[in-house]
Amino acid sequence: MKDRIGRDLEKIRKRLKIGSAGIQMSITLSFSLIAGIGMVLLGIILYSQFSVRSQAVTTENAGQFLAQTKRSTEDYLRSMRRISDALYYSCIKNKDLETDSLDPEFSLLYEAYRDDLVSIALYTEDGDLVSAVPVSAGREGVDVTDQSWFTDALGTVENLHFSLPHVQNLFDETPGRYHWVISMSQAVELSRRGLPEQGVLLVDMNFSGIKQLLEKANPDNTSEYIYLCSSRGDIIYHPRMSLINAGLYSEDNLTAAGRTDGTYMDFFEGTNRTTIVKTVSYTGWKLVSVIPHKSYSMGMGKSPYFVVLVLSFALLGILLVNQIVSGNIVSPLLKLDDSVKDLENGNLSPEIYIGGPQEVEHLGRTLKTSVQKINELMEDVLTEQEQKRRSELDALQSQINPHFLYNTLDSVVWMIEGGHDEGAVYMIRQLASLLRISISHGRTIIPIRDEIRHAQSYMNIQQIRYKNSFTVTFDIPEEIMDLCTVKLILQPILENAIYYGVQSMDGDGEILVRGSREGDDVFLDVTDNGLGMPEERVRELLSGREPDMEENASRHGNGVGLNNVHSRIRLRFGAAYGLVIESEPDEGTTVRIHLPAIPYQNDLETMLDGRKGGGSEKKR
Amino acid sequence: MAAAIVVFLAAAILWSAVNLLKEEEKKPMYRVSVVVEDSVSERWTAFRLGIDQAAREYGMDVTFAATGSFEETEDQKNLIGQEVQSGTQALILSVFDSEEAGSLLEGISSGIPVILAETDAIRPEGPETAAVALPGREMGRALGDMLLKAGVDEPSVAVLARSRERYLEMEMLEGLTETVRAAGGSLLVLKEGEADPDVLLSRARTQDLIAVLDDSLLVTAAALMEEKGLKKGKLYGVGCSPSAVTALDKGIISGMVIPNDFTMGYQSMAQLAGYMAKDLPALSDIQVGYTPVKTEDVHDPDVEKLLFPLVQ
Repeated sequence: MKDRIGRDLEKIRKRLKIGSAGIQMSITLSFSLIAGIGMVLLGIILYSQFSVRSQAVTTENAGQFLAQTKRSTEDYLRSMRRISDALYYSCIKNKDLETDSLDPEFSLLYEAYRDDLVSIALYTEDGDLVSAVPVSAGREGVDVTDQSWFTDALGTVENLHFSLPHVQNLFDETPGRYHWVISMSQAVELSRRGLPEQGVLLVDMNFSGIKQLLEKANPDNTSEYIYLCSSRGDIIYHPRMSLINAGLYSEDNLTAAGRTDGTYMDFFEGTNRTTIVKTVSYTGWKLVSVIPHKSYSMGMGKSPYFVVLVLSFALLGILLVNQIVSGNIVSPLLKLDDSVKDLENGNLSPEIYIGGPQEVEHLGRTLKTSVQKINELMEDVLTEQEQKRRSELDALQSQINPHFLYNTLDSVVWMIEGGHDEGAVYMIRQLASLLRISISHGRTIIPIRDEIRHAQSYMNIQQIRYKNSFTVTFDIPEEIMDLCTVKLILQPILENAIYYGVQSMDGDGEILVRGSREGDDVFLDVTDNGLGMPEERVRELLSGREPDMEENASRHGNGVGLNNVHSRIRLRFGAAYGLVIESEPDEGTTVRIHLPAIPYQNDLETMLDGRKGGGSEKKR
Repeated sequence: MAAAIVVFLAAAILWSAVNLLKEEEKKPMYRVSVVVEDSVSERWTAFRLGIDQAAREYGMDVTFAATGSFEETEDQKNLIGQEVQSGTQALILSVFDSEEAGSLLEGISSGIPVILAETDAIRPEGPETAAVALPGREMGRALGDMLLKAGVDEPSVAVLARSRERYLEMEMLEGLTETVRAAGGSLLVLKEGEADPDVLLSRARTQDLIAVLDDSLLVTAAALMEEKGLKKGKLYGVGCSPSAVTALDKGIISGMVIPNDFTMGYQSMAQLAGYMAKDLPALSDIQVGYTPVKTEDVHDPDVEKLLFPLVQ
């Protein structure tokens, strides 16, 4: 037996362990999952924000750098324009070609800017060379009038024109020496013998100046780059110019040339890229900054590992914290669960755990109160059941009252011996009716009609026994006849009325049984004009004090008192119902039975009992 | 369940920490040697520019082996051996004698990829050898077309070529011969070693037009003609050196077929870079182009970009 109990306890412990692990694991995993999802979502949002911001910063920096390059380019071109203007306004305008030479002034300016200049030359509108430095002789067979810088200058005389980069071929220079230049040309007014004529001033800028400027803007170690193209899209400088010339690389220069200043998103040659365009003043050239989108992620090669490391650490931390927190939450619940299991195992006074968080503590207190109330209710039920059992026993005893039966049968014998056969038959019939209703198929709830019939039979017998020394009147309206009542409640009252009211009144005794209905209430009044009783006796009758059997027997002989009737009505219908006694000494007594107006049904008793065992209890 | 998650997270932490602490693998810088005859010759100027451009872009270490004139294939072979011994990982060669290309390559240990520049010479098959070649026959035809447009009917053409067997020159000669003969012209082929340049040029001048199939010979012929003040309009050739371009600009050379040596150098290095970085499964043959240019076209904007890359 001891081993078995031990095994059972072990099973319970195992169950509890599994259960606790389940709750704790559920809380831990749920919280961790939610936190993990939250972290991942937050991470994605932050990363995308970071990415967008990073792109914006890169683009902004590239834009600023491009603006700076644009300023440098413009400054450089402005300085070249100043040279051209100085040549025109300080030298050419003041000289007469017939008498003056321009060579000294040209040489002076050329020497001052020889790093940036390749040559300075002045041509008449017919294309004849007037003056040139550093090489004064023009190349044989070269006709400048069909060259673009010349035609452009004479075509729009008010402007200064910048050509595309080209190899200069105007002068007889050192063999094998070639210069890439950008020709800056403008129409000028010449004076010969005081007469004005038109000419073209050509300043060939060394292309290396622009090239170096833009090379500085294109560091080797990045995939971003800046190139320069004309307003028509001809590339002036590109860091991959050699490859473009060889057809090994292509650029979207025509698209860029057609754009206004701004930032554009492009997809070119399978690459997504951001393009920033800025126009160089006066020339209309376009400086274009190209940022391939793959450059945004350069230098971030180990970022994924870092993200995984941080996320893993955070999730591990969350898991551990959740484990501790869930353990703290679950621990008092488990203790409370132990108390409940103790209760389940039959201990009606278990040690209920009260502690832990406020809610669990409240739960414990509630459970403790509930257990106490259950115990009280169980005691009440037991008491009530005991009372009912005793009341039913009393009622049963009243059905088989041997005194009453003996006296009745004795009267019958006496009638038969005296030749009063009809009276004897009447007596036996009344007795049979009395017994039939007393039995009532074991029911305790019967229609008022049966109860009245029982009372009438009883009173008929008693009238014969007492030789009609009192009268009985039944005034029961038909409307209450089919309402229900607890059986055998009138008989004890009538018995009391006979014994203590009208027994010794020598024919003047009157007993009135009257029924009435007031709303949901039914009243049966038993009134006698007998001796009555004092108020103390009335209170004593319904006080619930159980008179002993001898006292009962000495008073009325059958052992069933008014209190018994009062208790049975209240047990069936509730404390609102029962008996009310009004009595005046020497005036008489009225006992009022208060019942609910419930139409009688066969299963009514079960309903009123509220439990299945009611029927079997009656049978017992 | 919880234990499995903890183990998984611990593994993730370990993995990411190891990767974070690990030194980032630097892209290896492969060393490539270029072995051509007379490495300082102007003839290789554009070719070197192409190689240097690709070496910068792909992060390669390129070495031009200092060479003079080779006497025989063995000279080039010895030089290649020295480069391999010094740790070169790939080779770009212009084969001295195309006929002996096979024996030249036999001496190179396997595992060293080789690009043969200029010509698709005889070579062993395999993923580690390829040619970035010029279309010799087409170039010869283009040169012939220029000669036929020189204003001489059924011209007699003196062809100056180098003495040894080079497939590129042989192919060019075939193409030139086809074209000239098809137009009723005739050819006189003169080899470099047959006589002094002066004598060769004197013999050549007996013909209506002169076509030179080698850059250095072309520059020599142009210099002699300028020196002697000879009549312009007769000299044509194949070349790309700055001196040849200058002679073309001056009109001493009337027309030139210019091989795209920049592209040849760039593609040679790009092929090796792709193969060594394992982006390419095998080296593959590539043919590059050429441009015929007459004197009057030298300063055309597009031609300028081709002819004057040095100063740009």
